[in-house]
Order: sequence, then C-alpha cells, then structure tokens
Amino acid sequence: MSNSKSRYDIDFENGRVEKDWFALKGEFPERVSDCEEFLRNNPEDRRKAIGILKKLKGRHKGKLQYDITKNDARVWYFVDRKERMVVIKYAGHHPDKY
Amino acid sequence: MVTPILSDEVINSTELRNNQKRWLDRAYVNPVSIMSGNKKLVLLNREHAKHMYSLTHYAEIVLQFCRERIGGESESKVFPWTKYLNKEEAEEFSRELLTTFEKATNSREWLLFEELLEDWKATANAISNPDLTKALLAKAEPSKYVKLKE
Repeated sequence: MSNSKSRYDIDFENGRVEKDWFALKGEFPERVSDCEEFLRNNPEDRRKAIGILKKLKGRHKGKLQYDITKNDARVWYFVDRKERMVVIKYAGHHPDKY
Repeated sequence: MVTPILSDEVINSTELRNNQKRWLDRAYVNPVSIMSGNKKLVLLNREHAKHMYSLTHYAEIVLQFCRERIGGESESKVFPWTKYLNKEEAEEFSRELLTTFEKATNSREWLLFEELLEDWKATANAISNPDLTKALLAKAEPSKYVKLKE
C-alpha cells in the first residue's frame, strides 16, 4: 500500500488540458482511473507499466507518455520530483504513424 | 565427428533415456547435444535460447541500420520513423542504439533495448504532430495550473 504522504499531486497545465482529460475519462473511465493511480504513486516507474509508459527523448526529453489505450488515447506529462507533482501537458487522441 | 558448441557434452539418445534427470540438470547449466542416428539435437536452458534468439534478431536490425547510415540512405527502412528526428536527435539515437545494444548483449536484459526503441519511436510520433509538439514544448506557467482533486 502506498503511503498517502508519498503520493504525487496531479496538475493540468491549463483548463483545456483538464477538459481533455475528463473527455478521455468519459470514454475510458477505468483506464483513466488506472492512469491517475499510476501518476499518483509511480509516475516514472516503467516496470509498473511495461509497454504503457514511454520516456521521450531528444527535444522532448523529460516528458513521459502514458498509453491509455493501445490505439491512440494518450497522456503526456512531466514530473517535478522536488515538489512531488505531476503536470499533465496534453491528453487526447494521437494515432501513431508508425 | 561433432564440433562442440558452447562447451557442450555430446551423448546419444540411449544415454539420455537411461540418465534423464542427470542430463536435464546438466543441460540447465550447459548445453547437452544428443545424437540420434543422423539427427543432431541440443538441450538448452530456455533463457540461454531466448538470449541467443534476441541477440541474432536485434543484431540484424542494428546491422541493417548501420548499413543504411553508412550508405547515406535518406530514409531508414528499418526505423522509418527516424525521418521525424532532426540531425542531432538522429545522431543521439544512433549512439544510444549501439551503446544499449552492447549493454544488452552483456547483461542479457533485452527489455532495455526494446524500451529504447519504444521511447524513440514515441518521440518521433510526437514530433510528427505539430500541435502536440507545440504543446509539449510550451513553457510551463504554474499560475495557469489546475489541480486534479483526489
């Protein structure tokens, strides 16, 4: 069980991202709830989200991608470890070209 | 005459049948070859077999990518998504590909190599979407943050 003191806060970067998050939650309520639990407890631990969590590179270094579905529902965020905070920058549908 | 591979021991099928447990225990540590008439078989720890398969599979991919780079191919066939990376990113990917391949070869942790490919592919896919890239590169403005209540 996680200690509530060690849980991360989750912030949306702005109101639009918040709206997009809840739109995704309307489509995939259980999966978005799973994502929220993951972000609150282990936002960088890919062993707890094998194949679901990606750590971006290059110009997007420091951003993480969580795949809500295998198709195209995604959440992108960064982690402020010092403040124990996750900031969601983008939530929505993004079909992979490859 | 059988040429040894991986310091294996060579037995016939009768010997395997007569001392099955002994040879299975031995095969768990080192390969054991079995001669049955003209058939040459090997008993091998599954983890070793998995490593050998992964090594061959990923070595072919890395080799093909290196050939493309050396040949100056404009677009990679093995990693077509690299066309979205800029020059510095493409060089960074190439370096990480080789160093991670080397690490995985020694540690046998092929998941690290698979994750590297997943990470770069996700990066390239994100770059391919201008709106998403703009949002990801936008400077954070904490005054606009909206908290998600538990």
